[in-house]
Amino acid sequence: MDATTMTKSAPSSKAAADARALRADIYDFNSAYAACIDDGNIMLWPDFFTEDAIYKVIARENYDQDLPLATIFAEGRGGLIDRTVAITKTTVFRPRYLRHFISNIRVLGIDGELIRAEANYMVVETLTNDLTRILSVGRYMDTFTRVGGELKLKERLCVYDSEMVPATVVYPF
Amino acid sequence: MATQLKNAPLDFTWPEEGHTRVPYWVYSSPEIYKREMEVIFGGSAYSFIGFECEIPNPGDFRQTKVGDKPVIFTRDEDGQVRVFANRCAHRGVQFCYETHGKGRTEFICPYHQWTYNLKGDLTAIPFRRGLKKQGGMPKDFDMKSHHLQQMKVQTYNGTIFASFDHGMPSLEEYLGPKMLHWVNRVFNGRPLKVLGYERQRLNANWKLMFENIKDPYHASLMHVFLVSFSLFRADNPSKVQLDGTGLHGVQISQRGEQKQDEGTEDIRQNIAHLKLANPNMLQPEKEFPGEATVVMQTIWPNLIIQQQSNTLAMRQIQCVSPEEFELHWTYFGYADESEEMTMKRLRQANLMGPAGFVSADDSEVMEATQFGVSKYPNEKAVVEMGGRDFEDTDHMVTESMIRGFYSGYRKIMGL
Repeated sequence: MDATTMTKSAPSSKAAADARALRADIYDFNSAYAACIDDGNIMLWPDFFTEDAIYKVIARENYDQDLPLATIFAEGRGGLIDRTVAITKTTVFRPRYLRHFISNIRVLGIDGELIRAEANYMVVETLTNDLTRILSVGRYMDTFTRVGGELKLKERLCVYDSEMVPATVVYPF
Repeated sequence: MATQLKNAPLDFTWPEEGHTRVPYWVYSSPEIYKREMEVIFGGSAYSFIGFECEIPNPGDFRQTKVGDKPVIFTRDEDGQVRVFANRCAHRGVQFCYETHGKGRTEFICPYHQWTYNLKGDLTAIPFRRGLKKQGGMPKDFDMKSHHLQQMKVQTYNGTIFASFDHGMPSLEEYLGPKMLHWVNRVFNGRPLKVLGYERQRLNANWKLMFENIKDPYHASLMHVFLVSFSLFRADNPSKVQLDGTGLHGVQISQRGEQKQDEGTEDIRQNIAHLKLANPNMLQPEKEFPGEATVVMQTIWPNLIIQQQSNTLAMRQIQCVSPEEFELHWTYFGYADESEEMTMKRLRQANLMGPAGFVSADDSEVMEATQFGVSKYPNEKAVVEMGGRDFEDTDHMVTESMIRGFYSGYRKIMGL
């Protein structure tokens, strides 16, 4: 962090206060997002997104090499709903708990209505009668917008470092 | 049989019923695993390595594995694809750390800087002549007998296969005309492009992956998503084909109508009313000759060629231990295809991979199989659906390909 940035984030600055408030909003958003998945309310997960949202889970090697393949590619609210229906109605999987840990939120830029932000995430998985393990570690590359004052994701790319997936990804990151 | 094994765990005697039974020790025994790595992956088989388009220029390289043996594939200055062990000829050190890269002119082992050219030939040894007349390699040390371990390489319409057995026949002969027909369906010389990779590690024996794809019986039952959208159903026109050895196989099917009828009463999971909220995900476009929309081909000993609607992938099996394997997926399309077609493939990729609407079921059930068989090595699987022989069928209600697989497997393993 250089001197200029230090000055910018001095407590007296209004811009810094706004930035902190925005970070707090995103923190609350991410906490609610995590709780929704972790507490078993996956059907409500699409509500965190805009109607035209894009949600992707992408292996870091693909992202870094500009390869377009995603592990999960949901387009629009419909795509998100289809994922939740598959999880609850069609996918055959062993019962498990998930726990999301989301940290290091950074706002990268604001462009009109759009807020670009990143965060680190870790998703820990516990299969019934088994040891807890790290399922995925990576970063969210987010574009937020406000709908009726509330933050919604217009895009969330979950770019994961843990390219060797332990078995199965059932729930979203 | 069980009693024999309890008293003599190293005396692996196949159940007397033959290939309609699979003894569970094949999925967990370290001795069996060790033999498999040597006689199968280290022996007379062509393993899938990768695509030529992944290493378009001399000096491009990628790491992969043959069974559990680390290798790299690269292209030499003459444009030849080379596959060699990622193991320095000196002390066995992994000399290539990067998973992939380009522009190499040589490979240098970081430990003592033994240097190899792109053909895998040893070209330099530091202090070979010693230093200040001290040390150095013996005068009769022959550089030419210390090259990297090479594999016999076969390229076929953009694909790369290799074998540790340099006496192997051609890949075409290895696959045979019946299997080659289905390989040619996707690999007809049209330039390929890689769309991306998926990798997963499963707590399961590697053969369970083959069994899974050689088992159309489960596909119409367990995969609610496939069945509900009629991407694969027991009552759709379909067939199973095996090569003479039983080791390679292919299941061929076509998409039907979304429906519930008397023929599908046994498919309890069918949700006929299921609709996609975003139908874009599943709008396949016909791109190959013939009526088939699904062709799942198993190529011994490490490859599944996946053609489900427009989602095309090579699933490469890599072994880790008796009870662990990795599945490495390379999704591809064609270099000259439309953006729209590429987008269809990327959307339909939701069906496959570690989070696939279909494949997640398989990953889960393979681990559940390992859970079931691992600690009961003296028990055995019953594989009699569709009869006791292994032959081509014009239906899917069969485990014919699994029987063929174990018939071939027993011959190679001497079991």
